[in-house]
Amino acid sequence: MSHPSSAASCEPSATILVIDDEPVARHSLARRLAKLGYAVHEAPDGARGLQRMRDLRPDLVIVDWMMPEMDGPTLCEAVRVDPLLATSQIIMMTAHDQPDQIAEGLARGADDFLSKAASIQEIVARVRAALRTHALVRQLENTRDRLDRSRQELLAKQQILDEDLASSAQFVESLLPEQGSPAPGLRMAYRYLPSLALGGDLFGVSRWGTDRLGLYMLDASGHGVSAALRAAAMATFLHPEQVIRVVGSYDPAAIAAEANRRFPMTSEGHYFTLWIATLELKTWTLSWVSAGHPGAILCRPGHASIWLTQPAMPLGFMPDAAFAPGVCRVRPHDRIYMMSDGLYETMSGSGELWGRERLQHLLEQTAAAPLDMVIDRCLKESRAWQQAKHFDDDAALVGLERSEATDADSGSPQATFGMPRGERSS
Amino acid sequence: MAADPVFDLEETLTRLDGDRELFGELAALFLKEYRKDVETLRAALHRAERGSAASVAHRLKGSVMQFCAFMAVDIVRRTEELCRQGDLTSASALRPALETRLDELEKALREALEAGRNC
Repeated sequence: MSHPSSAASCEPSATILVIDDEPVARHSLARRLAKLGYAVHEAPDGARGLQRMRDLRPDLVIVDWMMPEMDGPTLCEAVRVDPLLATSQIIMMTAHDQPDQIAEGLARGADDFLSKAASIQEIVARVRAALRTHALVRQLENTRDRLDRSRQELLAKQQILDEDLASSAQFVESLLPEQGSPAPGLRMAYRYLPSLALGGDLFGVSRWGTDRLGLYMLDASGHGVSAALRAAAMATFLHPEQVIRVVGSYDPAAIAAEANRRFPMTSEGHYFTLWIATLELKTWTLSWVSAGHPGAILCRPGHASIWLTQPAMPLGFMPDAAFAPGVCRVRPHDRIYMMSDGLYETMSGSGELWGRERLQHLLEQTAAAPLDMVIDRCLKESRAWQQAKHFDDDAALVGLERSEATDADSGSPQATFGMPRGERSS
Repeated sequence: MAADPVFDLEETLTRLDGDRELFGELAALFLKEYRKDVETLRAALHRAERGSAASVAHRLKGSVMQFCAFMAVDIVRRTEELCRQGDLTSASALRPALETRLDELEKALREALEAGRNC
């Protein structure tokens, strides 16, 4: 290595490697560069030069074009495919000054050229330009490395978050009812598709006492673990033992009123919407309340469908809010569908809403099809409308179908009339 | 000072920023190394190894260029070109003249080094 003999350098710490098989020219250039203050190293051929590059990681390499075994262009090509060296700055020394030869050198990886007959002024100018470029490249490499590290950290954190979300989704799904028949004479099928971000939709279908079924579909506003946990808290409140202990009855209006008191709007503005009902299994009387929830729809063969919903505030907006109940009878072959708004609030590419009307139309069109097929068809159509693999929001659709007539249906005039306070479809 | 017929000391020193010490180092290095190249060239021509002969002629050319030894540069360059063209017969015929030029350069450099020591 030639040591600097002058402090008058522009980049005192820069390291330069000179590769040339001709010792006099190599030593001459090395000494002149050392006089300028650079730390200069020498290599007598391409192969050893390449190894020195790996050892030293010099700021600049000046290599002779013509050398036996590995010439300058070949060395450049080897450098450009080596991940550790690829961004090295290389000046090629040559007696060639023909444009096509210069072009070949550039194409094979050289950054600049230096004539073997170059004056010291030209050498200094080209070396300084190359070192400026190298400094910028190093800066970019450092920035890239920092970004890579940050990205790795973010990916690691994202993985933890994804695992939390998956764990939360598993917990939410564990709260869902078992598929199948929740009561004699009643079939049930459902699909629950949580969004990628995990939402706050949850539903329940379970026995509330001996002769009664409790049904609910709730939506905790927002997404993520927070919404899922709030939904789970509401589901815990809606457990039949808890309902009896706290509310004292299974009256949907009383349950909604108590839930309204217990779950006020959060400081972040989060709240619940809820559709809740009881189905008396002896009389097939359905009593329901909707609190800001799009609710459920009753589909009866040969009749227009009825939306079981009423205008009402969501839970948590007003502490003393009251919720008006609706009552209807469920006849043999009637179907009740509870759904989350994420099912039909899907937007097409042009911004058009799929909407409740299309959902209702589809449910009526498929009234004769098996329940689970209808549900799958609805989800498929909604998703096709959205042209996306996943729903933006949670999507849940629960279907209940009463099968055969029972004693409760015979001789009772009420068994045949419809739904007095529902939202009658057009 | 007039240009030396064998090498141009003034121009050489100008290219070296007037660094006589460096000139001395380069001259000493040349005197130590060039005979090896001459021997290698001779052997390569004898074995008709066109590539090796061109390569060593190219290296010799780079060395003598450092001293602005234009006559030596010219004959070494012609030797290199003949080797690259595969005309080793002509290159071999040129070799004695080349060695003469190099001998002259060696003598001139030694004189310059001696003169420098006496300054």
